[in-house]
Amino acid sequence: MNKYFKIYKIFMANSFSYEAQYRGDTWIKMFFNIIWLASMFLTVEVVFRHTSALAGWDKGEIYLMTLFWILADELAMMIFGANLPQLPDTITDGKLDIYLTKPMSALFAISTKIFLVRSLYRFIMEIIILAAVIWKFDFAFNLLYVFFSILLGLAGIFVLYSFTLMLNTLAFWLHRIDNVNVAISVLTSLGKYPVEVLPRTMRILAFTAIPIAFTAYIPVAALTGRSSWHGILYALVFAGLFFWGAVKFWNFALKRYSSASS
Amino acid sequence: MLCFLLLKFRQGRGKIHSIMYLQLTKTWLQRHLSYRARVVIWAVTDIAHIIIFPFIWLSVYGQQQIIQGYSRADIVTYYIIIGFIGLTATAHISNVIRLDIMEGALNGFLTKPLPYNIFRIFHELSYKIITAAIALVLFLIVRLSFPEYLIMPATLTTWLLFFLSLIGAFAISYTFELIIGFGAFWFGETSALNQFINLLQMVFSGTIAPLIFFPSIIQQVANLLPFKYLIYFPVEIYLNHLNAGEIIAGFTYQLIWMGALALFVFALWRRGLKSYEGVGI
Repeated sequence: MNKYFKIYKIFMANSFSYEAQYRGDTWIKMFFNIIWLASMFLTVEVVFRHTSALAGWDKGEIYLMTLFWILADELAMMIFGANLPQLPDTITDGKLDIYLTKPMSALFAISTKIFLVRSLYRFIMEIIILAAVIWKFDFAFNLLYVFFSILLGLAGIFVLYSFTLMLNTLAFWLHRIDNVNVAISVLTSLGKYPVEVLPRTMRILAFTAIPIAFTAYIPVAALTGRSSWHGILYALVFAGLFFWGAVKFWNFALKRYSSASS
Repeated sequence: MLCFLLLKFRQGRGKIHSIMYLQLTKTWLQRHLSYRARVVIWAVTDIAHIIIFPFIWLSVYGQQQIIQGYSRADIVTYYIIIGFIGLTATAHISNVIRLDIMEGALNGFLTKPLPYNIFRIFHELSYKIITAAIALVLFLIVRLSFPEYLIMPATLTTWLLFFLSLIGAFAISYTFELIIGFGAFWFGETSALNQFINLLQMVFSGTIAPLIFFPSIIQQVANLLPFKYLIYFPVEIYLNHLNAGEIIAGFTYQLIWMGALALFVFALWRRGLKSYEGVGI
């Protein structure tokens, strides 16, 4: 374990040094991020021009859900978002050999090699916006709910990681499916809306095969006191099992790797 | 766009025959079909980003029958048609062009007896043949499954006008993709530019919601930009929400934007080639 901490520290140091070379680019992307956030909030505003509640959620709660989704997405981007999307090309081009011959877990290296520093800056900015939203809508949260919400948010990151890993692992069979990451991004972005608006079949999918409910809906439901204890338990167990399943699937798929280059 | 194509056709100076274009289409089709999973994933992506909106709006409607002139069936149809447009009239070529420029693959195309842009137009059109087939199948499935939520145009004229507006929408979408792709001549990495244009498009094209649902200031800005002719204008034609004057004005603006963007793209291409370093030569 200690070895992996040391390796991760090196990965982070490399990432910070890389980022320092492209400071201008970081600021440009930060600017675009603000516009992107504005477009998210505009969507909420447009919807609430025509209603006072969406499937039982008021405007402040929908803002919370949007921000939770943004934060989860940013954390995911920071930790593995620049790494896993490279997997299909790495497999197809036979570059996986480089990772397999290293004296550490190939999955660890592939998932964490690049720490996206600019996401860290954005994450800090988004936390400030979250604080502003909590202040503006005058939320008062129960501390226990806050604890469960953070715990479930972290579980949501595990679900997101597992979902991304599983779909990228399909590249062992399908090759050249790097665009699957655009699909993942589009699908998971649906998680910033309350699942109650969806019909029953899609709601079931949101809690199982296409787990879009875990990054924002479930944590915010816990934060606003809407979750039952068995709902919280389900989310935590699902996150653990889904992660376990994704790693198993990766190990299974790895046996198919024929190495195009060597 | 049409002028741009004609210009390129003239550059071929009559040597290029229709059989050549047919062969080009067949070659690209074979290439796209050899990566079927990619095509399916793009199709899912094009549809998925709007799939939740009909449900959100149905929830907003509640007991209301009409919001801003849109009935419940109108709003569901609106998003289904956006999905249809995404599959049939939205281009995705910018990343291919960016890679051609950054990795030097453009060198190979420049030595061929056909203009590069012709190669890429047929690349995109052949891809659209596949996605249009997917769109038609999905359209029929939705129509048969939920006839009450997918309104069909009452007249043949509406269908015709809708398809004409789709051609215009595709031309504008394609020129935007060229602008992003040619950006690689100067910036190399164009993801920020791509993200920016996509954002503008999402807000001002009517993808999030019909533009009439937005505050008036956003509607006024949208009227000054070309993005509404990608989505909002064709869907409004489909839903029969426009009178004759509005349709004529819409097509006029669509043509003006097509021409202006095509000229801009042409200038970008000429200037870009001058600064192209030809990696790998």
